[in-house]
Amino acid sequence: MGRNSVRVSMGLLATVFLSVGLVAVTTDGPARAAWQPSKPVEFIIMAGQGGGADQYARLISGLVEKHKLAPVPFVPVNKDGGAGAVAMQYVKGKEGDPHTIMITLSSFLMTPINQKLPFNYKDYTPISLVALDNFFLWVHKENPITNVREFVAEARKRPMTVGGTGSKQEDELIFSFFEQKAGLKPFKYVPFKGGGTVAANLVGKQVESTVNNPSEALGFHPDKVRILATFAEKRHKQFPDLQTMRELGYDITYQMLRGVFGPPKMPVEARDYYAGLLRKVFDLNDFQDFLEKNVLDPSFMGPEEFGRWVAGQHDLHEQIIKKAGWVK
Amino acid sequence: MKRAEVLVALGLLVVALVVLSQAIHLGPGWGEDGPRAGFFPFWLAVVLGVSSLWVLVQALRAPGGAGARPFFPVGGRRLVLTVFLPMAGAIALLEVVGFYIASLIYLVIYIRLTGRQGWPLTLAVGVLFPLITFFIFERWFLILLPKGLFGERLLPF
Amino acid sequence: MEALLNLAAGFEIAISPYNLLIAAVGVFLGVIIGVLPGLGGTSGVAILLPLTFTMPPTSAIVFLSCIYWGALFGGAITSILFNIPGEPWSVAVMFDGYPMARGGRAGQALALAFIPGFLAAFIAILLFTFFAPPLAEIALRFGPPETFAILLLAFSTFTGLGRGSPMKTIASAALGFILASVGLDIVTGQPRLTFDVIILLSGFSFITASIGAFGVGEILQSAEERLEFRGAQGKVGLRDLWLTVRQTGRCIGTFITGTVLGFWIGVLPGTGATPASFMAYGLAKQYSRHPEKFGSGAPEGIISTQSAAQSAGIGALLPMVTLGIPGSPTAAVMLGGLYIWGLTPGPALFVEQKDFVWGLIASMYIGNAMGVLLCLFLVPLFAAVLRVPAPILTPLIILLSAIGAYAVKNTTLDVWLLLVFGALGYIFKKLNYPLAPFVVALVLGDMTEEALRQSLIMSGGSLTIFFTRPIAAIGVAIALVLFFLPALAPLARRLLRSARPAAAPGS
Repeated sequence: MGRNSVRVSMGLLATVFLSVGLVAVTTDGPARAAWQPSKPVEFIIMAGQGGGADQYARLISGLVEKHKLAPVPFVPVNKDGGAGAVAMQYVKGKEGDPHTIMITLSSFLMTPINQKLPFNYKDYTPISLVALDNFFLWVHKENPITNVREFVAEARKRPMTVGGTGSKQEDELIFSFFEQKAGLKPFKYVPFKGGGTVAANLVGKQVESTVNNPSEALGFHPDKVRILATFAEKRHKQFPDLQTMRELGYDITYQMLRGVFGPPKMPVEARDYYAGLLRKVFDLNDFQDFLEKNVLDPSFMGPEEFGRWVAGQHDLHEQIIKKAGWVK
Repeated sequence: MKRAEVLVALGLLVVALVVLSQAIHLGPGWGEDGPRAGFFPFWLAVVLGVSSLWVLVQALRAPGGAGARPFFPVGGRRLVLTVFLPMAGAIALLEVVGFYIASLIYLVIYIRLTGRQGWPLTLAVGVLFPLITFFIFERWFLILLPKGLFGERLLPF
Repeated sequence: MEALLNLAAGFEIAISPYNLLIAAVGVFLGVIIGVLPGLGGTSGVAILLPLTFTMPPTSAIVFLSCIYWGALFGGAITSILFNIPGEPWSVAVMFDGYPMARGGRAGQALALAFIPGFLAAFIAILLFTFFAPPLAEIALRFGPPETFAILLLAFSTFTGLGRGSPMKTIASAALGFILASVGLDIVTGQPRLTFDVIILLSGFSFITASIGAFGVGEILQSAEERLEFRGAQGKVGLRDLWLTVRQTGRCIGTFITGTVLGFWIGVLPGTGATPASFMAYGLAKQYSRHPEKFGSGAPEGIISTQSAAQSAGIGALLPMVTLGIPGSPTAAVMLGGLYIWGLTPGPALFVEQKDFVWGLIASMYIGNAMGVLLCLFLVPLFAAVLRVPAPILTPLIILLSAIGAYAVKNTTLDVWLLLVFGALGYIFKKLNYPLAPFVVALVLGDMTEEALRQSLIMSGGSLTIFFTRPIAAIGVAIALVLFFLPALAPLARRLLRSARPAAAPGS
C-alpha cells in the first residue's frame, strides 16, 4: 500500500471528523442564479440498512463527499418499514422542502397500490433516474433444468418452489408476471427478508429458483448457481451469451428503478440542482465501475423524462398486480 | 394494589378483545399453505384473554382492604409524576421546537425545580448537553435528530 | 497447516502501522457507538462506510469490522450501568448486569461482560480461522424449517423464565407476541393490527420497547423509592480481573455453551447476535444450579449473554466472507462495502483475495484484544458516571433514551412509545408481571412466525416438513421435550411414587 493512499485516507478521516462541523453555512438569501443547498440534505432511504437502496444512497452520498460535489453533506436516513410506506409518508409531509430527497425502488410504485395508500408516485417530484437494476432467472447448478424451455415445461407440470425478497414486491411480481405470460402452475413463493438470504436459500437448495439481482448471487456463479435468462430488455455486455426472456419468446421485461425523487412541490431550482448533481455522480468512473460490476444498466434520465417513464412503469405494475389478484 | 391489579388485568383483556376482532377480520384460520395472517394474532389474543381473565378473577378474590399494600408508597405518586410529567412535556416540546431546544428547556426546568441544584450547574448541564449531542450526532455521525415544527429556524447554527 | 501459513501472512498485513492505526480508530469509535443509544453497530458501520471509499479494501474491512468489535463491547456498558440497551444484542445483558451494578458491583459486572466476551470472541475467531469454509457449507443446509426448530428451542429454554405467577408470565409473553405481529405481514403483505395508521405498518421495535420498559420503567421506580446507586465501585484492579477469570472458570459450561451457540447462531443466515444472546440466557438459566438468582445479578446471566453476543458477531461475518451472504444486518452493510471497494463476495474470495480475507481474520484477533483492553481501561471512567447525582443523571438518561428510541426508525412516534412502554414497565414490575418474556417474545416473535410460515409454504401446508428433515426433526423433538418437561416431570414423579407402593407387596 503506497504512502499516498495512507495520506489520502487519513486526510479524509480528519476532514470528516473535524471539518464537517464547520461546513454548513447559512446563505439563505433570495434565490440567485444557481440554487445550492444551505444545510445538510436528508437523503431518505425507503429500506433498511444493508439493502440495495441503502447501498446506492450511501455510495452516492460517499461520492458526493469524496469529490466535493456539494457544499453540504448528504445524510442517508433509513426509514424502513411498511414496504416503503413510512418513508413515502414522511417525504410527503415535507412538501416544498428543498433539502429532502428520497432514493426509491420498485416498492415506491407497488406499495401505494397494494396497501391502497392515500398517496402515490404522482405526489412526488421526479428528479432523476440513475440506473436500472436487473433480474436474472437463477437455478441451482445441480438442478437438471438447464434452460428456460425446460424450466417452463417443469413449471407447467407442477407448482415449483421459488423464493424472493418480501411479499407482493418486485420478486413476487416477476414470478407472477412469468406465470401469467407463460401459463405456468402458480409458484409456491417463499418470501424472505433480504436478497442475500434469498440467494443463500437458493444455494442451499431450499428453493428451486430465484430472480435475484445479479449483485446478490453472482458470487456463486458458476460453481453453485446457473443463470437461465435475464429479464432485461437487451443483453448485457458482461454476459453476451445470456439471452433475454423476450428473445426466448416470453414477453417479460422487468427492470427496477434506482431513482431519486423529491417531496411534493419541490422548488424547480432545487430539483434541477439535484438532477445536475446526480448527473455529475453518474459520470464518475467510480460510479460507472460500480454499475458495471453489479450488472446494472447505466441509464440517466432528467426530471421530465423520468416523470413520463415513471408514469408508464406505474401502469405496468398496476396491470400485473391487478391480474395477479393482489388487490381487488 | 388490588385496584391496580384489577385495572391492568382489565386493560389486557380489552387489548385481547380488540386483537381478537382484528384477527377474525384478517382470517384466523389455516389456509392452503399454512396459517393465514390472522392465525397467530387470534390464538395469541385467546391466550392473553384467558390469562388476563385468570389474573382478574384472582385479584377480585384476593382480600383487599386496609391490610393490603398500596400501589404507591406514601408520597410515591408525586415522586413518580415529577419524573414522568416533565418527560412527557419534553417529548411534546420536542415535536414543536426540536430535540436540542426541548432538551435545553427540559434540563433547566428539571435540574432546577425538581433537583434543586444551583443555577451555575443547571445552566452548565442544560447548555452543554444539547451542544455535545449536536456535535456528536448531527455533525460527526450525521444522525439528524428531530427538529420539530420550528426547531430549524430557532437553531442559531 | 495451510491455515496457519495464511494467518501468518494475514498478520503481516494487519500489523502494518497504517492498519494498526485504522484498527485502533475503528475500535475506539465502535466503543463510543456501542455506548451511545441511538448509534448501533449497524448504523455506525453504515455511517462510516463512505470513509472507507478511499482506503485499500483490506484496510477498509479492518476499519469497519473493528467498529463492529468495539460496538459489541461497548453495548454492554450502557446496559449494565443504566439499564438502557446500547445495542440490540445487549438487551439480555441488562437482565443481570444492571441488578449487579445497582447492588454496588458495577466494575465487577463490566469485567464479567468484557473478559468472557473477549475469550468467547477469541474462541470464535479460532473456529473462524480453521473451519470457515466447511461451516459455511453446513450453514447452507439450514433452511426455514431448521431455523424454526432453533427458535422453538430458544422458546423452550424460556418456559421457566418468569418468576411469580405463571399466568402473568403467559400474559406478558402473549402481549409481546401480539406487538411483534403488528405491521405488514411478511408472508401475505397484509397490514395486521395497524388500524389504518400508516406509521404502524412498520410495527413496533423491540429496542424502543426495551429502552422504555427497562430503562424508563427503572427510572420511574427508583424515583419513587428515592433510590440512588450505592457507591458504585468503579475500580477494576488486577485482582478483579483474576476473580472474573476464576468466576468464568466456575461457569465454564455456561461460557462454552454461550460461545458455541452464539457462534453457530451467528453463522446461520438471517439470525444474528440478538437472538443468540437471548437463547444463551435462557439456556444458562435452565441449566443453572441457582436459576432463582437469575434476574437479580447472577454472574452466569452476564457471562452467557455477552459471550454469545460476541461470538455471534464473529460468526455473522463467516457466511459473508465465505459465501457473500449477510449473517446479520451489520454484515449486510459491510457486504455493500465489498461491492463498493470493487470486490465480489462469494466462495471465490477465499481463493482470489487471500490478502483481504486473511488480513481481516488477523485483524479480528487484534481488534478484539484492543477492544477488551480499551474497555477495561475505561471502566473507572464509566463507573464514575454513576456518581453523578440523580437529579442530573435522571434527565440525561431520559434524553439519551429518547435519542435511542428516535434513531430506531427516525420517527418521533418511537419517542412517545418510550413513555408508554416506560409506564408499562413500571406498572408490570410493581404488579410482578415479568418483563423478560415480553421482550423476548417481541424480539423472536415475528422471526419464528416467519420461519414457520415459510416452511409451510415449502411443504404446501403440511407440518410433516418438521419431521422429515433430520436437523429440524431433532431440534423440534428436543424443544417439545423441553416444553413439556416442567409439566411432565411432576407427573412422572407422581406415577413413580404411586407405582412404588403398588409394586412393594409384590417384591
